[in-house]
Amino acid sequence: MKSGINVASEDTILQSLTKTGTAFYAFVCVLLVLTGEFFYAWYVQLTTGLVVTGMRSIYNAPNYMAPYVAGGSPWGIYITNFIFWIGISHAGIAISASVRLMDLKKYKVVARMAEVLTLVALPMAGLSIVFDQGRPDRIINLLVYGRFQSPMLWDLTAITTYFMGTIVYLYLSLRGDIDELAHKLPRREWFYKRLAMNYQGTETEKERHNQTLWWLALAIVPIMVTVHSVVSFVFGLMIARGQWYSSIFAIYFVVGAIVSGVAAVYSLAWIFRSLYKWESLITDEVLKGITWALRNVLIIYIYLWIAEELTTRYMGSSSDLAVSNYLWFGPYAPIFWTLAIVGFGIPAIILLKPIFAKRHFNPRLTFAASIILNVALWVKRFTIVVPSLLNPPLYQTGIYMPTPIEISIMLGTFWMATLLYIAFIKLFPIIDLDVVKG
Amino acid sequence: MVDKKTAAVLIVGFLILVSGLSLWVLGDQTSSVVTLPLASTGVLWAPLLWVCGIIVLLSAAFANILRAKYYVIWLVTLIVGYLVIFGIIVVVTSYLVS
Repeated sequence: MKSGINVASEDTILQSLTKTGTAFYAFVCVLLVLTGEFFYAWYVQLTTGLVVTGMRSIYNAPNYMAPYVAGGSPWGIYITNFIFWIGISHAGIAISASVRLMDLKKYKVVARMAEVLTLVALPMAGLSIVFDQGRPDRIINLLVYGRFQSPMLWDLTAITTYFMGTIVYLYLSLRGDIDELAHKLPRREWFYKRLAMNYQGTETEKERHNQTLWWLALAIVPIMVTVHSVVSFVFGLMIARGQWYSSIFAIYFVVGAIVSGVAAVYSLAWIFRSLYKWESLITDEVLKGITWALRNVLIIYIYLWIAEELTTRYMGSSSDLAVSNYLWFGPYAPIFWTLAIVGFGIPAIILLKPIFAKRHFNPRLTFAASIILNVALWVKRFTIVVPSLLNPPLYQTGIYMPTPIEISIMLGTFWMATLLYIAFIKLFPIIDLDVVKG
Repeated sequence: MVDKKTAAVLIVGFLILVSGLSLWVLGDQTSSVVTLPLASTGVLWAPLLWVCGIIVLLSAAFANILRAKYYVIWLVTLIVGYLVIFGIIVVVTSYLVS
């Protein structure tokens, strides 16, 4: 790309559909094996019960946890994973809707990879809840006996709306490309023709698509904010747990979701750029723009985190302080301080560096920062969920350590998400073909 | 530009949504939901109507673009697909758990 003129062609984008090497098949095989291992772990959990996990009710701890009082945490890495995937899903429509509503044409190259990320992440979030249930078959009760007063039902409503909105949005934005693929890839014509549903490609039709997508984008932005706020309400409306009952929680979750979502989109953009040599499509300018957004939301997130800790520590004796002390000096202190210094400190330095030295934007280093940030945000959610449950107002209940079965199931969502994403990029262009049509 | 078909879908979706919500609130505050004929099927319809209303509302974007036949295909896919996911989870896991 030189001076804003795109030198790539449609064939450049379609490489991701047409070029498939041995390394790809090897990668898919590894993912399938890992997914198989996940299914086995889930089978064990379903047939044995949640006793195979490290989760315990507050008053019921096994003997091997003897050094600690009694009991444990009824929520663990599954709920952590749920919040993480919800956060990742934020990226898709947030970025895509911003591109459309604010006419940010430069970022159209990353819009679709972000939309697909949402579509893949939301089912993983839903599945994480299913894993957390000892009796997943009772999930139907949410639909049949749901109570409107419960934030759990608000969650179901918000996530359903977000997921359906994403499907509709993605299909409409993809329809023109699907029709074009029917002509470009004759071997798959049958599939694409039917999926395009009689798309004509006339100017009127394109105009109608754009108008509908604009309105849909406008409707989806508040839905997206609602989803992440509602996830925080599951915690923030509970008065009995230290550091949960906080008015800052909704915005804290929304900003955290934007950080992880934007970081994930940066990671994907860099991976695709490196893999398919798309430097002319995903230019340094695009990556710099995403980095700019990531840096700003990260600063806001760190600010909110400091504000929360300062308030907690300044007010003296409270259940909030007990949780804070537990994190600062208790068994999870190594995790907490590593998180603060390595997880957030180092990426912040990497992202802030180009402000002071304009030429020091390093896409590879920023990619490393985006990966560290996503791992850090996963761990941050862990430090939100578990310590508060281990520190009810009256006394400490024990400690929580995930078991190998639990870790296998949790990691399974990552393998499945990668497989689904790969399936998508082998069927549809991951960059809107309009980008190269100018 | 919103045509009559889209407007109709928006109104129908909204009505389903409001019906679901109303039945829900009434059901919580009184026993009226039990006296409704639908309740004789053994299913509390309010949450289901609520979710279906959301899906119909969002599908208005499809109604604005696709021909009626294709719109109906999408709508059925979205609603049935959504409920089938719950069905599969319930059937498979209840078999394994028991």
